[in-house]
Amino acid sequence: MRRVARSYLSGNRRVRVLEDLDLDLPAGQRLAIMGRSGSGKTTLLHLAGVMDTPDSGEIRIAGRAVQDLGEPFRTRLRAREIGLVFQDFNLMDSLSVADNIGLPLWLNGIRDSGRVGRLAEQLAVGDLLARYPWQLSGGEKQRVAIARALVHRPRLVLADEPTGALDEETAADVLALLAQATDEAGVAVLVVTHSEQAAGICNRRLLLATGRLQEAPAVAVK
Amino acid sequence: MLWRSSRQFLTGHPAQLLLALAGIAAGVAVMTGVALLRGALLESLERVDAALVGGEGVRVVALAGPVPEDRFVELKRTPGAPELVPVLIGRVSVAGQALELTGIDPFLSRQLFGDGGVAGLPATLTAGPETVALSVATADRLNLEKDTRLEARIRGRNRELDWIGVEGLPAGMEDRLVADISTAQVLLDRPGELSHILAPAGSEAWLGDHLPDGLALVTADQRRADADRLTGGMRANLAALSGLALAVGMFVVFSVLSFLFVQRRRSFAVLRGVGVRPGQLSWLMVREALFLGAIGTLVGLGLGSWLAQGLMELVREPVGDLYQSLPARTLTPALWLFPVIGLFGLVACLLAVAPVAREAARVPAGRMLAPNPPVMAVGRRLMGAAILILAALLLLIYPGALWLALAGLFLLMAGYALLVPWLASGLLALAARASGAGLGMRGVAMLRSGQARIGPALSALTLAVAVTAGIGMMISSFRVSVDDWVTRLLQADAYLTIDEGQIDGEFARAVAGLPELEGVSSARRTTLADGRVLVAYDLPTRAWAGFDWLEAADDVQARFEEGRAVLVTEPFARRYGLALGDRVDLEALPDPDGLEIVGIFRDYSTDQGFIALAGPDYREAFDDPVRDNLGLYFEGREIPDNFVGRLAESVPGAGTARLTKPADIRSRTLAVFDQTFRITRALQILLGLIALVALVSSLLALALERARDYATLRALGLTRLRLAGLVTGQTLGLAAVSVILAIPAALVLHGLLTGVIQPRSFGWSLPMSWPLASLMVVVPWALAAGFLAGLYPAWKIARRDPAPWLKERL
Ligand SMILES: Nc1ncnc2c1ncn2[C@@H]1O[C@H](COP(=O)(O)OP(=O)(O)OP(=O)(O)O)[C@@H](O)[C@H]1O
Ligand SMILES: [Mg+2]
Repeated sequence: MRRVARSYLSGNRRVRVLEDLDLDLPAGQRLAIMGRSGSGKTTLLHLAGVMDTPDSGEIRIAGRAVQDLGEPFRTRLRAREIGLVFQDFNLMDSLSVADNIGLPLWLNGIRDSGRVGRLAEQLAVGDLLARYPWQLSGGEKQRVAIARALVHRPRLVLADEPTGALDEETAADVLALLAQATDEAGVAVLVVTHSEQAAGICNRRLLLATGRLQEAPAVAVK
Repeated sequence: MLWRSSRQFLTGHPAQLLLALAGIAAGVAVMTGVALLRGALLESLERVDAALVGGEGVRVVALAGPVPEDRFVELKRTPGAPELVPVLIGRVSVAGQALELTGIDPFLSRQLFGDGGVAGLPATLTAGPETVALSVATADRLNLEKDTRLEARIRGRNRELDWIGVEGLPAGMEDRLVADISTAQVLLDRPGELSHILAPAGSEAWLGDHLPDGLALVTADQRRADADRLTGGMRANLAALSGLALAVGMFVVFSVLSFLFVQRRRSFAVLRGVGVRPGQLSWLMVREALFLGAIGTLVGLGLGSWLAQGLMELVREPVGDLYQSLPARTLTPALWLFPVIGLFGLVACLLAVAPVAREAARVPAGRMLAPNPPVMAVGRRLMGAAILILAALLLLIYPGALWLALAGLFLLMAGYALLVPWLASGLLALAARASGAGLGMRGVAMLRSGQARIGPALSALTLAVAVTAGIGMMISSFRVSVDDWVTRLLQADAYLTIDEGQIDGEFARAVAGLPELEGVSSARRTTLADGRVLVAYDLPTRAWAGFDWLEAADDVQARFEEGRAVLVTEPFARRYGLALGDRVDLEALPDPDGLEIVGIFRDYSTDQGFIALAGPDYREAFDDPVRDNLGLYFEGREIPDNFVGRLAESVPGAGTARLTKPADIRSRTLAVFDQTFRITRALQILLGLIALVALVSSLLALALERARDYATLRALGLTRLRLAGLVTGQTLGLAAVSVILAIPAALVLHGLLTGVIQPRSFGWSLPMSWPLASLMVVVPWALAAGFLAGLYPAWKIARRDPAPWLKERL
């Protein structure tokens, strides 16, 4: 990302959330972004996920300036290359857990060869496949959302507080899986988190404050 | 505080708020529109009645046909005679509008105008040979300029009349041209004839003693009964339609509002969770429902009045033609109507909120968080089934009274509407099984998970579509029946009328003597003193094929021609409870046993029904040699070349003869039919429009509510095209479901309207036909509405990046 800015109109006031933000995420790197609540982390993630357009600046993914791409390309990019764990999960209430996880496969026209089941097992939601999202606990929903972000082997994984609703032990398992699933060459990961534990699986961490990123100290300042 | 959260929700979802208000307004508008229209028509029927009754005075009429003026003179000269006013009434048209021309003796008309009379009227009316008076208001309405002459079309000729606007004509005389009796006789080409003689109330005894032969007395009460009979069919028809409109309107309001609440179950659960008491929450909902209901209802009342006004323009003419009295142009609705309809609207609002409010009060907060409410559908289903059974009982077990049939009809539709959500979920389950694993499956799954929300909307839609289609089918099938009937009835090759003079016996014989002709029929129609209609027929054998017998003696033709026997139409038989072999009394044909009915035949020309009597009997009894028209049966079965010319040469008085082909009469009959049913059509269109608005608004609301799901799919990489497919597919699917469910209801409705309501309101039975075309015309409309309702949200979501939609609302 180069000199990216994004602001919101709130009433008639313009809230500048990101300003002149620069970010590089080489393939194979796992990056943690930390920052105070309301600092713009989710906004940044949505921009990186090609779900939002910056007011100015440039976002390149695999060398292509995505903000200039037509919507069909952006959509295809999202479907094929990006896996996103939303902060509030955004599972589809009308689809079963299995169908929710399988959504990206279906969107890409890939037949499920047992991957949905395997991933669910690994994330310890294998018994819940027939249930519906509103029948799940917060932590279970989070793991379903993670499964959905990984199932189609995206090259860019974006996760918004992926362990926010998990206890330490489960979080460790989930993070291990996230690390393992993205260990293949060429997968880049961007994790937004407050948790030291989650940041621990990353090889770099940045702090988002006043609209910009800066190198974060190895240990969060208490 | 709570109130603020409601307000925030509503202002935060402006589109939904608008749709809800639009839906409520539409529902109330249909109730208002139909009620107002019905009120206006009833009022004009009252006026028809009032005009027919014509005050409390006694009328002297002829046993059949007009009153000869010399009888009036005779009666008036009898010593001790009460004040008698001669009256002649005829139809004229001014600037394309039908008006009545009433000829009176202005010097004798205290009874009409009260003691004071209308100042200067006598002098005015007798000022010139062609002068008429009319109220200033009527003159304004006809756009008459001062000092111009009034151009009127009277008996097929254009006449220019002098006119004078007067103030203070009594109510019964508004919308009429008033002329001196002799002027009226000249204009209407009825020399020496009167329609009736007016006598003051209380003169019955004297008149009874002194009445000459051939005249009869009709009291105000008798006339009132006749008038009621005349307009009864239309009243019943209107009652049926407004009942249906009421049902549709209430369901529309119900569906729109209940959607708004069911949708927020979650926030209500959260409120309960943070400690809001159930009572507080219910009260909040009720208040909100009443608030929205009040706004929507007000708008709906206004909209409905406006619609009714527009529809009135459409139906004024046909009503005027039917009942010879034009409904008022501006609606002056009874004021109580508005609060009553408003109340119905609000009741529907409260009914809509009741289940959710009850759930909020009873169900533990946690359980309310589940998106699929532990639906109270079972109760509703039972209620629907119970109502259906009650309706069936009403319709089947007590087949007599009309109002019971109407109540049955209303209940049947309401009961079915309550069952619709359950049936729809069955259909969706089927669709889910059939749709495989693609986009369709996901669409259906989304619909199924939202069933509690879409249930009421589907009920309203189904009902509206069913009513629209059912009425359409009824009209089409009726039209087919009328067409068959008239086509069969018109056996002659041509019908002859003359513009000037009268067809008398000599004329008829002269025509019958023409060599080209195989036979001649004739008909003479007259109204008896008691209001019954009598038609005298002279029919050659070929004409007898025109009767569609419901019941007839084996030798009906022979018995009829022998005389002393009558035929009656089906409405007549039903109205007077007569069957084959029963007897009919005719005052002018005294017979201790009356005349035997030897045949009952189908007839749609009048719901009054009539008695048919053999020509010779009639002429003997009523001393009236005139025929209204002759039916000509040619050797070659078609009108020979130059026939009119030869007719004029060889038959004296045939100079203005006019031949009409059966095809022309048929198309004129159908035109009259279409005119008559303009009222019903207007109501049907109104219902259809409301259905359309309701359809679009509820489907749109459903789609908008799913904006977040749609945005999630977009974020995960669903293309815009497929999203549009999904959204429109869903709305289209819902429209399709309601159309499918509406089809059986429409068929039943048509069956009931045609088979039960029509015979009970008009007295005629209709051969049942199933015009599927009229059913199918609503299908593309409903589907198009479904498609359109999906396009907007699809376009809106696809137009922007998905991220904002995940946070914002539409
Ligand atoms: N649609 C919006 N309209 C107005 N302001 C918005 C909107 N969305 C976000 N904001 C504001 O932008 C800022 C950044 O929001 P964002 O969701 O990116 O924060 P965040 O860093 O993810 O916070 P958290 O850690 O609490 O999730 C916040 O101050 C928020 O109030
Ligand atoms: Mg966030």
